[in-house]
This record gives sequence, C-alpha cells and structure tokens, in this order.
Amino acid sequence: MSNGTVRSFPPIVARFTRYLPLLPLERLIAEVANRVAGQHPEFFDRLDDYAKKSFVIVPTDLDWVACMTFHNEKVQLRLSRSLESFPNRDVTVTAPFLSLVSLLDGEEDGDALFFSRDLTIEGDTEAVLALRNALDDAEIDFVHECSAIAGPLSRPLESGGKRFIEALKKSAFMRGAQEESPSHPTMDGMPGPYPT
Amino acid sequence: MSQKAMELVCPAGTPAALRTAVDAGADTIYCGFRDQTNARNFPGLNFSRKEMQQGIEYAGKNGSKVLVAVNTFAQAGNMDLWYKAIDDVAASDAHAIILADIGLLDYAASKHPDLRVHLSVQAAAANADMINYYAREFGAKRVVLPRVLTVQEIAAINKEISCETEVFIFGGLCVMAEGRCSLSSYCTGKSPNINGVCSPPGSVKYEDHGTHLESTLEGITINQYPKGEAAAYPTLCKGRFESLGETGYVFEDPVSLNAAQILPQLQEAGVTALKIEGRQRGKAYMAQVVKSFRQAVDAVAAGRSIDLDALLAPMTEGQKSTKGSYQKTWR
Repeated sequence: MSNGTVRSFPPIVARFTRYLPLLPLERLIAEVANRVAGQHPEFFDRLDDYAKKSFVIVPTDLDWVACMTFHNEKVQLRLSRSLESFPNRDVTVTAPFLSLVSLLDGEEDGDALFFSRDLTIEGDTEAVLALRNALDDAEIDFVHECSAIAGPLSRPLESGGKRFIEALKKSAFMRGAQEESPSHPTMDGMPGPYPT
Repeated sequence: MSQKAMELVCPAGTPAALRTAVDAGADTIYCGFRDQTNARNFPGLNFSRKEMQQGIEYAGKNGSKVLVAVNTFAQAGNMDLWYKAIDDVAASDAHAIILADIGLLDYAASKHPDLRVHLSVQAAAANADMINYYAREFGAKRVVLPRVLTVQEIAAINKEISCETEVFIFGGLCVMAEGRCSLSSYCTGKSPNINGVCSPPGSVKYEDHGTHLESTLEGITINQYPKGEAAAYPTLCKGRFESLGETGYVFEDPVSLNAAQILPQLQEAGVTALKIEGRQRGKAYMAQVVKSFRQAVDAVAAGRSIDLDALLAPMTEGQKSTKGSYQKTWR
C-alpha cells in the first residue's frame, strides 16, 4: 500500500550491483517474466500494438538498466550498465527499484509516484500507459513469481523474500526520498486566478 | 443517531481494479467499454464485453452493482458504435447505464425502456429545470452533478427534483465546463467529449532536463516542474502559462478534489451517492481511496467523522487537495 514514503537503496548497493554478472541475472529475470506472461495471456491483449515497442526500465538506485521487448507473446530482456546501450528505446521508466517492484505488485499507484516525482517517464506516453495498465490488470506478485522458479524451494523462498522486502522498506538502511519531497497542503478555496 | 449510508460509487479501469474496488467496500463500480464510447478511452484501459459481464458477476456475488459509462457524445455518421454499446449494456446484468448525449438518452429510453439511466456529469445538468427535463423526458433516475455547485445549491436542487443526485467527492477536477470543454480538441484534435480522451497520451511528452521536468502537449509546453515540486496531469486546464507578464496557473491549479471533511453536509443536503474519480488509476489507488471512504461514509452514517486528509494526500494530483466548489469562496 502506498504510504507516500519512497525509499532508495544507498549508493553502496549500486556499487555492489556494479559487480554482479549481468548475463545470469538477465536470464533469471527473463525466465520469471516469461513465466508471468505465460500465466497472463490477457496481458498481451491489453498491451495490444504497443507490444511492438521497447521499454527501458531504469532503477535509479542500482547500477544496471533493463530493456524489455516482446515477440510472439514472449518477453525478451537485455540488461546493460548504460542507458546508451538502448538508443532506439521507445519508453524510459525511471524510479527506485523497490518502487518499481511495488508498482508491479499493484501496491503503489503509478500516478501517485509520478505526482511525487519518484517516477519519471520519457518517450511514447501511449505505450507506457498501455504497459502500466496491462501490468496492473495482471495482478502480479513479484516475490511469488521470482520464487516459483526455485521448484521445491519456492515456498520458503517466497516467505523469506517477502519478509526481506518488507524489512527493506522499513529499514533505516534505505534512504527516504520523501524527505526532500514537497509537503501535502490542503487548499481551502478553489485555487487559481480566483480571489479566495 | 445512525442513518442510511450514502452509496459509494467507485471507478474501475480494468477487471483487476474492479475486483479491488469491490473488495475494498464499493457499493457501486462504474466502468466503460474499450472504445471511444466512454470518457476514459486510454491505452490498456477498460473492458471487453466478456470482461464486463464477468465483472458484473463478481460484483453481484459480493453485494455490489456495476454502472456502465457510455458517456461521450456520439459522432454524426458513426452512431452505431454508441447504439451497440447501449444495446450491450441493456443485454447485460449491469445495474444502470451512464449517458450524457441527449440523442443517446432518447435511443435508450425508446429502445430499452427498462434500462436504468443515470445522467453523466458530462451532460452538465446544473439546475433543477435541466435535471427535471432529463428525468421527465428520458426517465433518468439519477444525475451526476457537475463540480460547480456549493453544498447549499445542491440542497436547493434536491428539494426541487424527483431523481437521485450523485456528487464527486475525490479525484481529478475538470475546468468548469464539463462536457463542453474544447481545450484538448483545440490543441490535439481530440477531446474527452467525443474521443474519450483529454490530452490524448499520443500527444503528451515528458522530458527530464535535469533542473526541471517538462510536460508538453502536441509540442506546446504545459508545465515545467523544478526539482522537488510535485507534478500534475498534462492537461491544458492545469497548465502553467505566462499571461500579462506573470507566470502561473491561469485556468486552475493542479489539485485534486477531496470532500471527505464535508460528507455530513452532503448527506444533509440530500445526496444519494458519492463518486470517486479515477478510472485511469491503478489498483493501489482503488484499494486505498475506496477503503478510506468506505470507513468515512460508514462513520458519517453512524454520526462520527474520520480525517482522511493525510492518508489520501499522496494520491492527489500535485499532492494538493481542495474542497472545490462545495465551499467556494471566490464568487
């Protein structure tokens, strides 16, 4: 549930992820994504022609970016250290990693993240809306889907993963982006040019 | 003293959002077909006929009802799309249809006299004579009031009409000419009134310039947000423009309506139903906003009150809220 408190990994995590080998990570994420896609055929129906677009996801607090494309109702994924690896991207979505996970899980509202400037989008706005709506309707459980590929270990992995993510969200280890965000004022009269 | 709670009417842009709204305590959910017959015709949003019927069944099993919005204005020479939508709603188990176009109201009343009709906010019926006309001629059972009235004006209207009234209590605000606004058409050739899209996303671009985020509509700058300033929807009515040597919001500020604090007054004014805006929003919005207002509406019916301002602030456009016209002070 959105509570207006977006948190980012501290820079040390980004430095650590710099040394993670991208190829196995890329294959792992692609496998999860295709498992999800296989279970939600309506996702492609909702995405419609925008499935031809390329979507680049930029977790602001990690040291890699992901480019997602679709072909024959399969997800194709490429990871890179640099956004410049994908010069022909149609869409760029930028947000802290855990916000992206919460968005995927339907626990954060995309518009609310946009209003608070924790999420930015650039490129084809129609395509990003179609993707957001298709994902929101798919009712994805990120940790469950990631754990499912572990076979017999999936259940303990899932419960441990969920506890870990929740602990991370509450942890002092994470930096609160909201600390620098604007306050939430209430306006008594109708705003604008009208005298109040 | 306890009294009957007002009906909570909630939006849904996808089947998952509909289920979320039902589970969060919506009495009624409004949604539309996946085409330009409804005023939220955005990519990836809305319902196929099959999804609509499944949603109606899910709502029914859980004690909720579904309203189907066919609330754009039909295009000359292309009426069949709208007629078909009305026929399909009539053939479904939807509780009611929401219409705005006077021709479509006539079609529904003639072809489907048993179909319950609600008058959309897009019809902009803002006085008792207009509302009585729609009720008398087309059998409208409820009118969604435009967001231009004070609570006192709503109370006065309710004393002079025979149908129910529904009012917005939360979400995005339109400039004060609902159903008649041509700002989006002027800039992009498409409007919410006919195409179901205000600021069609194909015409919207965002660009992060480092020092500021810029939103443009068909190449026209709508706003530039300095770092740290809350952002808003890229609609012309909420644009920040230079006029007479000053830069500011010349139409209206980017804020959301939040009438949580005046629910008791709305109940006192004779309002039947309370509407939450936002079919374009995700499940998280439905869960939080609907659940919060469910508690608030029940509390008001029981003679208590709940403060929702802090809880709902992150969900508001520009992260600011207003009571809008309900307590207008500028006239």
